[in-house]
Amino acid sequence: MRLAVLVRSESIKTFRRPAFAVTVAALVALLLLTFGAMHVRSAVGGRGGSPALPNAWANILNLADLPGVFAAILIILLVASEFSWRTARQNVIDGLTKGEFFAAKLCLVPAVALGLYFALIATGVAFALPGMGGNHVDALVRPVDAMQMGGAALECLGIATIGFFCGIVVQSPGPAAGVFLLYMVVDQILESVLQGAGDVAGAVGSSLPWGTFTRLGKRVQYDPGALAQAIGRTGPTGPVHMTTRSTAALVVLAAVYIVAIVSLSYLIFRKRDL
Amino acid sequence: MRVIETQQLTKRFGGTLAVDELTFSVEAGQVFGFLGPNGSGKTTTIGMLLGIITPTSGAFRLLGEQNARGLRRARLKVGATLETANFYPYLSGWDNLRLVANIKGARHARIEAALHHVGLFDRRADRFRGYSLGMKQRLAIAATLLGDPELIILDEPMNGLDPEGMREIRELIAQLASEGKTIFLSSHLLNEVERSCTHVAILKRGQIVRQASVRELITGGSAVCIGSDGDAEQLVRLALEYPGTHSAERDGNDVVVRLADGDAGSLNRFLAEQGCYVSKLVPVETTLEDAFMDLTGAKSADPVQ
Repeated sequence: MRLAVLVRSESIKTFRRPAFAVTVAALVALLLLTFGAMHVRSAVGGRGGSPALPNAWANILNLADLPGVFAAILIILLVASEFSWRTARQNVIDGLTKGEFFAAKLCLVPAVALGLYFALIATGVAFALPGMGGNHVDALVRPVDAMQMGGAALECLGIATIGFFCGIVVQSPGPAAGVFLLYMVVDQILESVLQGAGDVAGAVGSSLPWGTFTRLGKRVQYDPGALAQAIGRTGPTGPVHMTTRSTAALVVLAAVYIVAIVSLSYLIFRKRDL
Repeated sequence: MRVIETQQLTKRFGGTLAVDELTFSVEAGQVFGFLGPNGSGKTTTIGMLLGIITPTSGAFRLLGEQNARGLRRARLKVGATLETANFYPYLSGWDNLRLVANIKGARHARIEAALHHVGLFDRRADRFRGYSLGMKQRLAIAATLLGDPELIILDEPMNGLDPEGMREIRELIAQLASEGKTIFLSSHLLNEVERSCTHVAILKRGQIVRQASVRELITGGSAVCIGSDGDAEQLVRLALEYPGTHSAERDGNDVVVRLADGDAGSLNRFLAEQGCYVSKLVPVETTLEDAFMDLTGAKSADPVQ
């Protein structure tokens, strides 16, 4: 495995790709709008604008779905295009093994997912810093913030892995993005249907990949106070009642899903002719 | 040395037999034409050699290598382009070649040399999507040259080229062959294959129907038209008894004899020894296209690749 060769190639392909710049710009614009709207709403409500760190972490990290979905779409564009342009085939003809090609594409998943996740943090922190003024805080990142940070990163990685699977299997960017978006919707519908069909079905429903990944990024998973507030808003049968599952179990389940999705992608890719 | 050697190479797609126990070989230094009608299995065969299609059965050697590790090494010494020029449309010609050079471990100086070789150096900064079809083909050929390959596999390299471009590619192929490189060329332009190639293999429905030198195929095909005062059917029978006859068919009162050895004098002597004195013995001008049509049973209007 020539890792340096793979990384160099993928860097050239990714950073020169207009879709990369457009996706990053669109995500940052959306985040600026979202945080800007939060700031204005908070200012109008007499709370003096955006909350400062470390209280702002909950608001920032609760938005981890966004970089996750953008990462998945970007990975679909970067992976599936290789098949529609037949450059995957040409890469192998030029001397990469199929395994190397797959590994090169797989490297994009953490790189893109974590890259966009840091864009979320940078944008959110940029709004949170002015509110801090000269106030002294004990810690910018409290243990609960750190746990949510880790969970949100895993959420982005998990969602991006689903995008990777769609790109490898469908092999055409438009249809692959369509399948990914459809999956997002179907998974959530299935979860809500199963939750109303008994305890066992409910447990299965809350263990589906999308729900598992997104739950990891939410504050209610780590902060009992936030969970109590959320239950107070939605009632005990609302969408947050399943967050009582332990974080450790969710992390293990998410890791199993990521490994399973990558393994299945590889088996499908290896079996297919280019 | 044999640079390509296949043994009963077979590929089945579901119920379709694309390549059927194909056995052929290409010697080092040959300019080898790989011909056949559409769907005859040419691209599938090349795909198997290049590792993008997994054979159903059979085996092959590439530059003497047979196992997975050896084939991987061998493929780095092969420059190949399959069907169309496959590059990243948003990257420049230079950057596309940089990616290929990165995979092949070629120095950047070779990129410049390859671009000069195919006349694209001045357009190196342009995006691939802005290239004309001919320029795309040239870039594909430039890419095949990057790793200083021992074997160059070109699939339809003259597609989209104007006559001047075809001439340049023909000269390029001749130059590469003179440098000792083996060229494996698949093309539907039979006259170009006839002018460029030293040897050919002709496929039909996944099987090789003939592998020979171009000279042998042309002269060993419709070699002579003979006539006598006697019975034409008798002449056909006698011509078929001659050991060097590939086929003999009646053409009016004459008989067209295709000679495997191309030796019309020996045929004449043989017929005379049998008591048949020909009154007419005229060489029949044949082309690779004639031989191809005979061997594949294709009509002239059929597209061939």
